[in-house]
Amino acid sequence: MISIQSLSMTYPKNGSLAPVFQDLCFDVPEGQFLAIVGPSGCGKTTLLRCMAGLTQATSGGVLFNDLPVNRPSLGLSMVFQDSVNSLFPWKTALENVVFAMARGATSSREKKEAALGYMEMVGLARQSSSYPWELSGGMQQRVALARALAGGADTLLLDEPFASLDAQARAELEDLLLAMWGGGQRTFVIVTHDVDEALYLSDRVLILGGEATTVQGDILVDLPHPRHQLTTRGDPRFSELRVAVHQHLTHGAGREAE
Amino acid sequence: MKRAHRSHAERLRGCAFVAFLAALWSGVCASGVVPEGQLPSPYEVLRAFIAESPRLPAQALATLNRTLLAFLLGGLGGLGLGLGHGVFPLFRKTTHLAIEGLRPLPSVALIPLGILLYGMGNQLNIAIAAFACAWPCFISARDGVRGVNPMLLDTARTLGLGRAQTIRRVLLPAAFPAMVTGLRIALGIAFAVEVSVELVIPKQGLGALASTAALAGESGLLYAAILALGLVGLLLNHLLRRATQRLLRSYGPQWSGGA
Repeated sequence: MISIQSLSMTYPKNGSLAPVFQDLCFDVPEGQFLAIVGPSGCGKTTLLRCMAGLTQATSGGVLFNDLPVNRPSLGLSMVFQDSVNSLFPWKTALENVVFAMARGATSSREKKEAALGYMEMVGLARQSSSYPWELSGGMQQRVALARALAGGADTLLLDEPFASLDAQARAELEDLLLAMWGGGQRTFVIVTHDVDEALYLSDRVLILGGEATTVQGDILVDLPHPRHQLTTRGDPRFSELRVAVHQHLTHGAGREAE
Repeated sequence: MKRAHRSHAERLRGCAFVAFLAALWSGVCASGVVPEGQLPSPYEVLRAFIAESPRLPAQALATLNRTLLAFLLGGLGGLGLGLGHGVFPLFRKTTHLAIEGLRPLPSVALIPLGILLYGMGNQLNIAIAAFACAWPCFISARDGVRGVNPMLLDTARTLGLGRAQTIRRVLLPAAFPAMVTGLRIALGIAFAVEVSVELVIPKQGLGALASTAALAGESGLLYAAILALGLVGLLLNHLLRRATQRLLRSYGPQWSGGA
């Protein structure tokens, strides 16, 4: 469980402090698939980095399983938007996955076998010995997902992981992500600016926005599982939820314009 | 297979062009446009090279040895200094002024000082060439470390790597291609500076041979020395390229391909 407790972030701008987000409060229960949406520049990535322990907030705190997050912990893993820049280019796909595993704990042969298991899970067993630069964007992101899990994390923080992919690869990766989540075996938090993707994937959508970003809306996504690219997106409930999310988003934007 | 074919054809084309240039050169010499004795024909150069060949290997070896030793010392020193700069901010702040003061100094200007310190021996040549070739290594290592994608460092942090582990397992390998580029430049500089020092202090080496030949009016020996210098330079470049291409293979075509 991740607990965000009146988290605020400011950054210096023209000699004074400008707020990025203000007084965010929410919990992510274990096994939830939470999507965070909001306009670009609203601090979604910064929020995710605070949750990962990569960035320190100005005030407030993040608790992960009741412990304060001050630095990255192995239970929480982050998947970045630009997988080509987060994979080690001098290592093969498999070596990238092995890299994430704790050193010394098991023999390198065992690690390699376990890593192969993760590669199979993301559908890349045949590309194990390829280098990242030999793989397509979608495949690179699959390697990044495998690596994130190989580190032993059961909570993944995903920062617009599919933003640079084409529609086909994106749909495949979304379904892979749902399979990895396994109906609540892991906790996923995804940041995206794509409302449809947020609804398709998640249990719950958190809408951020406003001049100094606050939580604009918190919507439970009661779409049935398993999700299916055509039927789920064609569900009348999907449209209703989409309208609700958009209302919250435009409400935040409206306040910004005032 | 196709690729090997193309490189074969490319090589053939390159050789044909060299042959064309040689023919042009001979033509110019034979035509009498250039006054007698000012431009030797390729045939004369080749004949001189063969005639003087017994004297060349010892001198070539002297040049080669000192170039490589200077490259080794200067290269490692420069890389070490550059890595220190990139990795440790305190080290950078402390040494920045001293380094920026030394770096613009033209290396050949150090020859008189070198003579005073080391006398006119091997040490002089090596020290000056090493000084000159340290700087490209310094800059490439420093910028290589600075230019490492911050996302790789974030990844290392999320995977729980400590500082020492991050430096060894992420920073150094990520900066490696840039460092190799610096080494390639450094080898050329070490060779050029070594030969310059030999020309100024003609005691040993191909540069010294060329210098004494010019002063004595032995044009054949001069041609032979220059041709030998060209061949040594070619050899050095080729060896380093072969060695680094293999090391950089895993980094992708933009690093391992090309010249």
